[in-house]
Amino acid sequence: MIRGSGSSSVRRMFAAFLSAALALFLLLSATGCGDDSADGPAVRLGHLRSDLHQLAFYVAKEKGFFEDEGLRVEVVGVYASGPDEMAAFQAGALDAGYVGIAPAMAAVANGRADVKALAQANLNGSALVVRRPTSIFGLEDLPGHRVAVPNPGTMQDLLLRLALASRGLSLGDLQVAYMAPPEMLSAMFSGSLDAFLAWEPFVARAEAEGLGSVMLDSRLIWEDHPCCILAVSGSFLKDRPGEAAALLRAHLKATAYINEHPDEAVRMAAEFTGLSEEVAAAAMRRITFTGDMNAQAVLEYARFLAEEGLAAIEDPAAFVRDFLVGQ
Amino acid sequence: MAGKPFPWQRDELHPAARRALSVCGPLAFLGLWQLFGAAGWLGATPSPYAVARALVRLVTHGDPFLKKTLWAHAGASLLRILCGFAIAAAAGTGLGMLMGWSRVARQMLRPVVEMMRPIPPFAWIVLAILWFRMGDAPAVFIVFLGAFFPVLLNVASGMESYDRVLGEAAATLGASPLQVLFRVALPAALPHVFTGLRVGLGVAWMSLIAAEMVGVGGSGLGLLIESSKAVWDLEYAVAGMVVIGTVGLLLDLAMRGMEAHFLRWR
Repeated sequence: MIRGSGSSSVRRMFAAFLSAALALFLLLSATGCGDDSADGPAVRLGHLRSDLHQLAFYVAKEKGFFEDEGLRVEVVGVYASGPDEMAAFQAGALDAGYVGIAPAMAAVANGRADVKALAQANLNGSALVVRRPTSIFGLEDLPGHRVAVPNPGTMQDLLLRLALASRGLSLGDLQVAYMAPPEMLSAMFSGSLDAFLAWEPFVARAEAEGLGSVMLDSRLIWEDHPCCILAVSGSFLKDRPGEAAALLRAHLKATAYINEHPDEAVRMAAEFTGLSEEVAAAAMRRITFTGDMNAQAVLEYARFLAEEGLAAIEDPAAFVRDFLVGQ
Repeated sequence: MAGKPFPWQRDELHPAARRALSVCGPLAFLGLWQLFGAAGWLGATPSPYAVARALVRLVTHGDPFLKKTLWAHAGASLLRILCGFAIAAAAGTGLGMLMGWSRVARQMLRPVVEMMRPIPPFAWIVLAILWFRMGDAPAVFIVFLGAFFPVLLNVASGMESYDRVLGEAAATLGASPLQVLFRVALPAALPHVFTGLRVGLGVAWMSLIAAEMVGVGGSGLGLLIESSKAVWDLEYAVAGMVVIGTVGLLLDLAMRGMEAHFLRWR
């Protein structure tokens, strides 16, 4: 008897659980449909959290440039890292996104993600920073010191290799540590990190907090190296070319706005990232905001990934032609 | 059979059936994984075959980004885990005994411990770097934090739950308080101690990725997973996950063996 009533109450609970799950599913799909009812689906956009390189996104949003182009943009994801955002592209959750060119190209080459670069978001914008006070006054002083870069295969990894190669050195001459840029600041503060190569605003923050000073602006290592891009999924580009073109126009308008209104851009950058205006301004002096893709530089980066065995790219030129929209 | 309505709830399984089942489970898992992947339901998830290939390549050539072999990665991580875990086991057992033994200590420590216990290892990264600089020391600290609380709380609850009449009886027979602690209470709490150690070792592995984000040198399974993510060589990330799971399982089996040895009186 007891057993019988026990299993029937389990059955009742199971039924209750099933109907609750079903109700939740219907509710969620109903709200999903509600979004689509207005005038076609919104453009699902992602970007990295508080990334100064991606300021054009914030300017376009705040200034209403997306609406001006008749676009309904919905920010569906704010990511901590490029690979996370590329996973969202892979999963089909994004139509467009502001992301670093390095994770985007790696995901296309190694993960066969269907993603294309619609426009550049910025060039340059990284630097080699040495701890203050320092005994490192030039690249030739780096050997034996502890130097951090974000990850193997990142643009910063390549920049460090290029800088070292210009003095006949290689990564093997240093004690390389791989860590995220925010951690580099703490490591420098604790006195255990001698130098790092990272993107803005971590360079400007290290200077503002008196932790380190810029030894080498990345544009001096590789002038106009690519950095963040506006990427779109291949299916969005194919199925909704009008909206992709509108997105590109809004992005170019926002990029031009940043360059034409530098003071307001600094103020908006501070809003977007939570940095002080002084730090934002210092960081932005090292960032080149432009929508123009530097195809030659993208090809060089593809060759680096291929030669180092970091990405499955057989023909770099063909890869870049396919990756860059309009090439 | 009484009170067990379903065949899978039967108490006894034939030893051969038991062995067969524990092989069938993982094989079925791998088969479904390969099948779903081939059907295209898993997106960019690497197939078991691709992961196996990456594992072989890790052994023969090393990974393509950090250029280290599997042994270098696993060895570096194992060292960090074992150091962090050893410190956590010693400190957790000691403090746990104190908490279980003394009501004053328990009242004072409980709120602190309960507050710190749920903090995820990732949140400690910055402080670990500020306190222990870079390299292995902050990594060991983060592993220690993961392993410490399960050991501490299990030892404390073991010490609280032992039958105090036994202690009082021993005291009446002339045992000193320290003798009661080490000869009566601790052996009685031993099953809890082992539970704590096993859970702690598991959590130590779970803290590994956070631990290896503090700027360790160029090797470690957590670092391997993070850097393969960066260049989207996901088969290396999953290979790293498989190795963590396997080594974790082997260490847990070793702990169970020790437990069976020390608790053979049960």
